[in-house]
Amino acid sequence: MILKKIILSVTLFYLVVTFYFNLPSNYLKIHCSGKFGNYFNFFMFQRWNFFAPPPNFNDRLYYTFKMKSNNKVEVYEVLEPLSKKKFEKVPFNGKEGILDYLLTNSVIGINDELYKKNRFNSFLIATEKQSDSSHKIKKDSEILNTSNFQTLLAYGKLIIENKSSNQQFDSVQITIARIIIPKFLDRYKNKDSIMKGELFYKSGFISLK
Amino acid sequence: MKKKINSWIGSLSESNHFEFYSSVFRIFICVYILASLYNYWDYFPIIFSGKSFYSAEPTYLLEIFGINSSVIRDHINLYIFVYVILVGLFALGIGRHYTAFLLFVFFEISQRLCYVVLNGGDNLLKFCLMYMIFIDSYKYFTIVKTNSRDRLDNNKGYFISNLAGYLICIHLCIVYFFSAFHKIHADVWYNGIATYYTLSLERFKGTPFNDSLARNGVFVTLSTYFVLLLEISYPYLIWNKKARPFIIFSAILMHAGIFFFMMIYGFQLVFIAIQGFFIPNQTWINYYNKISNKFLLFSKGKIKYSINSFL
Repeated sequence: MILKKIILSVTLFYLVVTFYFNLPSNYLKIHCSGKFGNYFNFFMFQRWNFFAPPPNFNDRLYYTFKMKSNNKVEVYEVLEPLSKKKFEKVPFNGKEGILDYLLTNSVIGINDELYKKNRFNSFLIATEKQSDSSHKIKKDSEILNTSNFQTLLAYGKLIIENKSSNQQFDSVQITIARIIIPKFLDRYKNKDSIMKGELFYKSGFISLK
Repeated sequence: MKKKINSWIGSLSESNHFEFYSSVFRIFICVYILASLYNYWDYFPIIFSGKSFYSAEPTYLLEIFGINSSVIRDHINLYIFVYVILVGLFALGIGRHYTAFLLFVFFEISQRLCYVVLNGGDNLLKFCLMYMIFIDSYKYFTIVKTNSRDRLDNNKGYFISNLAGYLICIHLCIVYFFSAFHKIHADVWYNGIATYYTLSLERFKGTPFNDSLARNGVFVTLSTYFVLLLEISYPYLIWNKKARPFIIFSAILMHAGIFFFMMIYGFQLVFIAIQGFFIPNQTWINYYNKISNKFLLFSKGKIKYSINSFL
């Protein structure tokens, strides 16, 4: 009986801890978690905020390939055709689904990175510790080194390998944009007249070699 | 209070409360993992090898034990081969709790090898697999017959097994609770227009009807509040015997809706499958006996018919 009570207590402790670390960032969680919070999140990571809130935009990922010799440019958008392909292959679209997760989650990863950095930058600029332009340069180089950006860059190389085998493009620019979903009130309006796009991120031209 | 705790411990130690359904869930996990591996098949080099366009990161977990993640990536075919064997052993009930533990380790490592392709279902399944290590799910659908020494047929064994079974149920309640907790905070859920946005997302457009449903104000309002109310009430009402069938039906309806309209398949199947843990063991056994009796009668009749036609 004593052993069972010990097991029960450990289980209850586990449940309380699980509940605690699932709470949104609040005063108690920020001040009392410490290293234990990092360990818990490392081994027991969980996030249950499904579509809370749902995105109010559809992502667009553009690759702009450029040829140095004649300044020729080719542009490809990859996410919209992928969504269409996924829809056409319902319900056997597992493979398209995986590619969608790889690309969209990399885009979301860059989105999160920028969000974190922008918050930090505005704090530093507000406290006059660094100038706006020096931050922008630092921010870009930090994004380029993330695994999310490297994934998108490598996928761009794959696109150009498959699409223009006889043309030698030298560099690529990655652009992330958003097509805003019209407000619920505007749902019956002509989509083209109210469609709004938003540029979210644009890299410089990066060498493909 | 002390008496209540003692009697609860006593009830957990008398019999296996999840004897039948945990066996079904064991098979479900195996089918789910094999189906995921099949889906990944063409993409193995991309997501696991570390030599593709996917810029892989270390798992950090293996590194704790002094193993470099690239060792697994370099021998990914061997790793997957062992993984599939473990799935097979678990499905057949060979090695029982030890196999369940090894499968959990492999599942966790493969998730960390490419975490960007994971969804909430994979996340929840990881915890279920962890609890399954302790659950005695080997009474049904196993090839190795159990003997009393093998099985956790003592009351301590039942106690641990039942506790782990209830942990699956409680974890599902935690998931719904926090999902609702976050949703209440979001304006679009509060104002009843959230499903307009979820149905308008291109990457989750699963049917040609999504656009027209998203434009239908009545559908959008009712479906948004249905999801919100279900997730809010689930953690409490699921423990009420009278409300339970209605709550389970509603949860299955919600997940089936997401399954068809948003093409999120595996994720929803995991959530639907876990609902079965809330149905009492005896109910499952009665259904199982009915179906197996019908099947026996059918197969006997068929044999008789085929012998007669032969004569």
